[in-house]
Amino acid sequence: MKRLSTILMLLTLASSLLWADLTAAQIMAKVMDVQSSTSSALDLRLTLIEPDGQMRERRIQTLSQTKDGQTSTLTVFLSPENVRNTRFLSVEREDGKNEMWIYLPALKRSRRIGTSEEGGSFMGSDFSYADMASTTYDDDQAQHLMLEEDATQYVIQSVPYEKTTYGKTVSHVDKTTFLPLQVKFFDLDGTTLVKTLVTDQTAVANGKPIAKVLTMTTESSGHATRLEMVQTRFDIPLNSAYFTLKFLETGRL
Amino acid sequence: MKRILITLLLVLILLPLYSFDFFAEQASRTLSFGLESGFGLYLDKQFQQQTDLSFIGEYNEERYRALASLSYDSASNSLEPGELSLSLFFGQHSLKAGVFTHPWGSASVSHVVDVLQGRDLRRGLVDDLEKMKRPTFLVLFTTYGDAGSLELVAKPGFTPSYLPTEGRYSLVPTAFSTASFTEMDTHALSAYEVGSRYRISKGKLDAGLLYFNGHYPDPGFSITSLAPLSINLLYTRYQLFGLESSLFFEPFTLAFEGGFFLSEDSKGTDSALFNNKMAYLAELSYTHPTTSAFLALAYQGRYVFDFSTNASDIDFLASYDGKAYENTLIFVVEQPLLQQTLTIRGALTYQMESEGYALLLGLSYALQDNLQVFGKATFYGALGDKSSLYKSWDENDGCTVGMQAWF
Repeated sequence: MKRLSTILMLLTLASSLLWADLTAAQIMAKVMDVQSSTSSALDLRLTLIEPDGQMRERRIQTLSQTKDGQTSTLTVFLSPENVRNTRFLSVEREDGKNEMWIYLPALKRSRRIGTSEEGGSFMGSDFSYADMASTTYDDDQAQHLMLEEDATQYVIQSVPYEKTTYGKTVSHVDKTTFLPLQVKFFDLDGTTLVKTLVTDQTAVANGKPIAKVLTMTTESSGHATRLEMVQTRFDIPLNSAYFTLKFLETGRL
Repeated sequence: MKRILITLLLVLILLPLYSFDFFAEQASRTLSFGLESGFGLYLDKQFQQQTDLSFIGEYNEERYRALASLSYDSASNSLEPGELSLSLFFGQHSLKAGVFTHPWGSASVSHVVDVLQGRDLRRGLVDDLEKMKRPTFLVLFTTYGDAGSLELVAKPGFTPSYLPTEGRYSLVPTAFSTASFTEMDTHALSAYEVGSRYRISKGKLDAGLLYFNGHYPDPGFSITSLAPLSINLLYTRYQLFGLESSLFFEPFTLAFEGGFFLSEDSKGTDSALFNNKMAYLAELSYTHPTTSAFLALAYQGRYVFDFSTNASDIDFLASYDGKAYENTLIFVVEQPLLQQTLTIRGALTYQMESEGYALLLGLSYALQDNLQVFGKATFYGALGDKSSLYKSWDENDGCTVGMQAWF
């Protein structure tokens, strides 16, 4: 009888752990789902904030389209003057990997960028190219574990299966909107905190909850970058010709 | 000058407004000004001050773009176009005409098939390939396909290289300093140039096939009179059959450029004209995934057919150490730091036959987005006594500090 109750207790514990893990994965899938759209056009302002408070501003616009599960993104740099008209194209291939090109107007040529460069700084900001694509992992990209839960937030740890940029993230997810309110990014060792992302302001655009203002802070330097969504359009018809080398090089459809 | 004014007029009267369709307040007309001022000190203690003012006006509309980029050089008191162009876009095609540069070649640090424009060596070697080119009048038609593009180029005449005849960077022998020069009309229709480039992307490979029928932008010469010395400059017509390619296996890129230059003097009998030659370049570059540090090592070579050791032959005069072949190594490094506000750059060129070298070092720091300060140092020289461009510019070692502003 004692053995039976022990087995039952272990089974109950195991199933509850399994349920908790599944719940965390479901939550992170929901987080990705809330932030995804078949297409989007974003007008963004990046403010780079030095530790002494000095600020520099960058303005970019991005177009994004998902077709047959593959996402293409085009980013156009509007300011400052020395990077104006720089364009960045990312096209997801069938195997899930991205092909990326950058067009540099000063050199009048485009060049390929490696996916390993996704960890590099985006325009000198605290966001990496990978962060600009997504700051959380989908349910099939990482092992998710619920760390805490209170009345308003879930706290979920995500350990990516393929550790390219980060070894671990810890996300605070709003229970109502499923937007990440805070994400802590850890180094590949999984213990050193590298950056912290905080959602400063949320809004609703086209009936969709969005993180309107976000701040990413690099822990080691104290340098921060505020990303503000100035204008947003979601699920709009987009011409596929935006996501071609022709548009990258000419800026025209 | 007339062309400059007409293009400038077009730029100023064309109406706005191009937008990204999705957002308001997208400016289609942009005007910007640039100022670059530097103070240089050469190792022979000669002081030099250089100030460049530039203006860029750009109009964008859905179907056209007009761009005027002019710069004023205080040292030479001259106003020069960097680009004066009008581009039309229709369907999968674009047509661009005006005075501008258009790069050919797949490598990053040097090219052997970038033949559409001549060189500008008035300031010696600088750390920007585009600044060492001379804009020229071009009509460029480009049509894009699913995986590639085709370019057709036509030039009614050509602009020769700017090879200084006096001053620090003069490349004219001392014996010629009192000579009078005559040259063909390089802007006559008979000096036309045409070319095409077909580019294709396949997986990680980008490749292009090139054809060009034009002139070497550097002149050959014949002496028409000895007293007084009179020299006729001649430009050799040639055809280029070339290739450019790059294979991306991240974080490395392997680029190759090469071509056969079929000269009008294909038998190499005219000492005033350049002979047939092969030119080739291989470059391995690396970009560090997280720091964006860039390193590149390139090998560049050339082989001249039917090479003559006649001291008055232009191929002999243009050679290094009197050899039919030429081998050059180039190493470049660039490291952005401090959130890309500080950039350190270095480039070393070593010409093996002449044992000549050039070392360019640079550092720039962005005080603000529209204001940066910079420091540059340049060293020319040779390990031995063999004469070369590097050896003749040995006295031009120096450093410059300055600032750049955009507004």
